[in-house]
Amino acid sequence: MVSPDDFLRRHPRVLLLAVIALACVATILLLSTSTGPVVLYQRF
Amino acid sequence: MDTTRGTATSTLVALSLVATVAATAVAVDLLSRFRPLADRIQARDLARFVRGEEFFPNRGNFIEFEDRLLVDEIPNADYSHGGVYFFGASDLKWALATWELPAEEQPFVGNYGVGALSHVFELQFLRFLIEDEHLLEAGGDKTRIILGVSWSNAVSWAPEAYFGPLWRRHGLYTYTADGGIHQASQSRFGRWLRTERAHCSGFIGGGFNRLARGLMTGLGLPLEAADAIKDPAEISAWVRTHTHLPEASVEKQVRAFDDLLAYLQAQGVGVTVVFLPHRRAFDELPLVGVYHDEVTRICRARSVETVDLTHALSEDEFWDMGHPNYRGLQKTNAALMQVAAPHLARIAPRP
Repeated sequence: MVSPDDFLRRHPRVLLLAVIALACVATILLLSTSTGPVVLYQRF
Repeated sequence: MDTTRGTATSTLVALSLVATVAATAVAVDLLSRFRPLADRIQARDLARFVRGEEFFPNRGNFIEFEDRLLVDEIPNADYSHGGVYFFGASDLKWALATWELPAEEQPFVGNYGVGALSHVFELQFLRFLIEDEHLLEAGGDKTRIILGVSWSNAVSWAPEAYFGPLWRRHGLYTYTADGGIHQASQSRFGRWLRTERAHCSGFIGGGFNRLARGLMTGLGLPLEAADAIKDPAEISAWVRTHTHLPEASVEKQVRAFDDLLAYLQAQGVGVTVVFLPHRRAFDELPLVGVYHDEVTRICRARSVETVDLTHALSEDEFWDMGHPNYRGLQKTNAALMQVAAPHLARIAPRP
């Protein structure tokens, strides 16, 4: 059985793509934060 | 050799990460400002409102109506040619369909409604716009202020309940109960950065919000418990139990309304006061009548024109307890624009 470490060592591009995807998601989450409430229904 | 290769790989990974963060931020920012996408989102939201599936909050690519107003509309407004500006609480902001106005009229009409707006806050808002943002740059004769009023303006909301945090939300303005509203002191770059971040957070947050609302309505669940109340007796009971309008609050806000009119008249700008529609159940609350009578008395004393739309909508033209559905919106928008029409004819160029 191939360990994940071995797999990523053999396919460094997959590792790079995974890191890039994570960075992309993290950036979107960071950009989505604001001090305003994300309410389902604006009461007033 | 291996060390050199390892360093090169590390550099490549680091640069890729930096490039990913930058590209993602730029892509989200561009998408948030991409007009055709914003138009499609608005068309979808409106279609759901017309079909009675969901309330239309007129928020553009933001989470709330007020985010769009404070981040996009007010900073980009041009007051040098005059215009007609509507002020009021949520019952005003959701009584106008400014997107339906002819393109040549749109720059001259401002829907400056803010949720949970007492007259105390309204005076602070107008002082900020007039003294800091030069709302009357074109002169009082080229600008008209239309105040949409209702019992909800007589509620003395705590400054930190909504109004204060709203202005401070994106770091673009400061607010204190005593000092009012001002632009936050920051560099031009800092302001640009905060504005773009507000666009991004509004776009992403608005997307999540739409998704959540779509799921809820798809499951047949009301987004707000009061949305499901249709029986007149239940509406009356809801109004009695949920409307907190102490006498002292009405007195305070009526005094603030008088101060507001005095301030606007001292600035030499014309004012029209419009009583906005409410459900019949609110007529049962004595202090709602007291507020209406006091505002009428003050307007007469100050020779301010009033228009009474209190009962302009039938019960089935409300979406919830205080805001019109699509049919009601057509009526309130037409009535409010009729009030604005003679002033617009004077100010805006004819097509």
